Amino acid sequence: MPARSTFRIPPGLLFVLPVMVIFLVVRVIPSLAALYISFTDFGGVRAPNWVGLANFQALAADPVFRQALFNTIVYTIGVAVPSTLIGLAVALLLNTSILLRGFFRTMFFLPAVVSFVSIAVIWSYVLNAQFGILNYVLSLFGLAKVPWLDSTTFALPSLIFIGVWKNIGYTTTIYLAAIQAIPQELHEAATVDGGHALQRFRDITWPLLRPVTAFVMLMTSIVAFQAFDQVLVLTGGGPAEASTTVVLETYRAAFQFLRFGYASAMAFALALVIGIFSYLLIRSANRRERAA
Amino acid sequence: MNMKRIGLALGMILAAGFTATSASADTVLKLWMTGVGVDKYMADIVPAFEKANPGIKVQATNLSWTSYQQKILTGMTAGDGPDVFSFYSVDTAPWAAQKVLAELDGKFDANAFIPNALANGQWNGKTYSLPVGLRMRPLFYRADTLKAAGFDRPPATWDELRSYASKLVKKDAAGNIERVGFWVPTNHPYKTPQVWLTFLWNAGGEVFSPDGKKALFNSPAGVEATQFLADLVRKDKVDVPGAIKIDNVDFAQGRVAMLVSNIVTRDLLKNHPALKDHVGIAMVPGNKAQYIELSGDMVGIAGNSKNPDAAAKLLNFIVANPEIALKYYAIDRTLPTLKALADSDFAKGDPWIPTYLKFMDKARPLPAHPKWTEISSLITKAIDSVVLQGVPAKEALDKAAAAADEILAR
Repeated sequence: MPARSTFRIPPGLLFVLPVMVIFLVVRVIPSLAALYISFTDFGGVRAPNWVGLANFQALAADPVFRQALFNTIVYTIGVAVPSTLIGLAVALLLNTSILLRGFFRTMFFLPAVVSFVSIAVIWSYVLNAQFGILNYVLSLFGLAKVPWLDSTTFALPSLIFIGVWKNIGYTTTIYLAAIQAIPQELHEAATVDGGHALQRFRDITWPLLRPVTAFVMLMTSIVAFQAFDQVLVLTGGGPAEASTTVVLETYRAAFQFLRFGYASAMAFALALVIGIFSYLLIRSANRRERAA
Repeated sequence: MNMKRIGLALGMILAAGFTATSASADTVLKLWMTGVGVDKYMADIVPAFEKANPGIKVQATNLSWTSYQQKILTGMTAGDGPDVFSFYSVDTAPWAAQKVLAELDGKFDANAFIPNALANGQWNGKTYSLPVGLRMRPLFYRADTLKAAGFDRPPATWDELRSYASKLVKKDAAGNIERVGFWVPTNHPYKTPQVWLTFLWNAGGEVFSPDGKKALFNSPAGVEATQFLADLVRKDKVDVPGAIKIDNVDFAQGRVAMLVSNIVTRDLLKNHPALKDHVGIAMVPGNKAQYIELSGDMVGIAGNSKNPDAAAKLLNFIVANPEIALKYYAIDRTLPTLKALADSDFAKGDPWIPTYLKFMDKARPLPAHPKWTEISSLITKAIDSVVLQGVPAKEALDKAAAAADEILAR
């Protein structure tokens, strides 16, 4: 009887192997390829030439990239902070026994499941300066028409507003689940001790939701950093680049200007910014948690 | 036992694959064409091509105008791209420079095409793509609105354009615009620079120096054209930026009286047949010169196609066969490209094609330069800053031209 091999692949590894392989093939390898391309003059089809750090140097001197990065950071903060705060407020409301609670929960979550392109097209009609419904409503109150998407002042704030509107369903859902996981006994004990609603929120709900807040902020920020569809459809990054974002410029550099090397450098610069931001956010959340 | 079964199954699969490969000795061409309704068009023409060319099989794929560039470029980079594909003429020069497109000289009969129709497929004196459907950008006007305002013909000069637009603009009691007199497109990646382009040419200006190495659009002609468009909005108030979004719908519904656009080629009359007698087309008003912009849907052969000869047959079948070319016209109402069609009953029976063909000798293609798209984004930004923010045209164009010169020197 031949000796059986004692080597066994751990079952856990077998379970995750398919995902690992897919992750390697569709994420890791393309990312490494893009990293290589960022050091070349690749134009899309012809063999690339190595250019060293030239793309990154050009990026540092590019006013369009600087504008796009600035807009992206403003957009991210503008979307992530209100989405988180409003999501928390709505979740607290929906956690009470209000009328039609199920209906409201569905309504708030609806924007989160619709494609951003469809949403953007609908908003473009709502926000049309002359014939849009929003300006019509404003005119009923005697207010002047606002060129929401066609002015350098309002284009980015309009995009931020739509971004917040779309995110609230997601942030509300996460918060609602977290709020419902807080043991009821804590609230009961605080109530017995005479704590009113605001005190209970400040001393129980808010501290216990801190890890969830960090998570929600992180996820909404990462998505906001990559704003693309809505910008392309609603403003095209204009007017005069007032609402352009890094991902939009990356797309244009690659597929419209055939500068894949430069576009890859732009993508990695953004990845670096997101990495630093995420690290700072997680570190600050961990510190606060330890302090608490 | 199990291993034996698996081995047997694998063997059978391999054998089947081998048999299939050896049976199909046909040349297989991948045809990727862009646009709405093109899937049905390809389903119609591909069997006819395969019948006329035994031994060549065609795999057809329909792309959308919003993503064809990504699909074609990534497909070719991955070695899995098309042999023959359609795209917009603005891509000819950049794609020729990157060898995305193969040279076509000697592979087609230039005499079959109407004069100027081939210009959109040429770069550096060579031909890289052939037109399948052209789109001209004339002045569209609502003849009914003009007549009501006392005008019996469209404006022919810039002064006339300004006075017509000032009369045709309609505002409500509160001063809100109800009808745009003349549309000045802003913040649009191609409508803004393409409408401006005709005004630049008509002011006597050019985008690039003849050798393509220097930006010239900040010339006095460029400043004059840009300031003229800005003044229409800022001084004469014939348009409010953002009022017009979907130009064909706005025009059909009477929200704009005059505009420079290529909308007729996008189904204006098909969707709004009642407009036939109420709208007209004219040359874009002239100043020192009078040109009209002509671009369109092109077909080319991939620079890395492994079957260039079969691909050339398919290309010619699509663009140079009058019967097949008519089928493309039927999808999207583009203009005819072949001499045989210009004189046909179909062209003579169309309400506008004879007029379009009269403009053809004044038609100019988009600048055939690999950097035009990138530089046009600088121009759009400059136009936006002049029209929307009131930046002096000279200042905005000088800044854009300096940035364009850096791009050209790269």
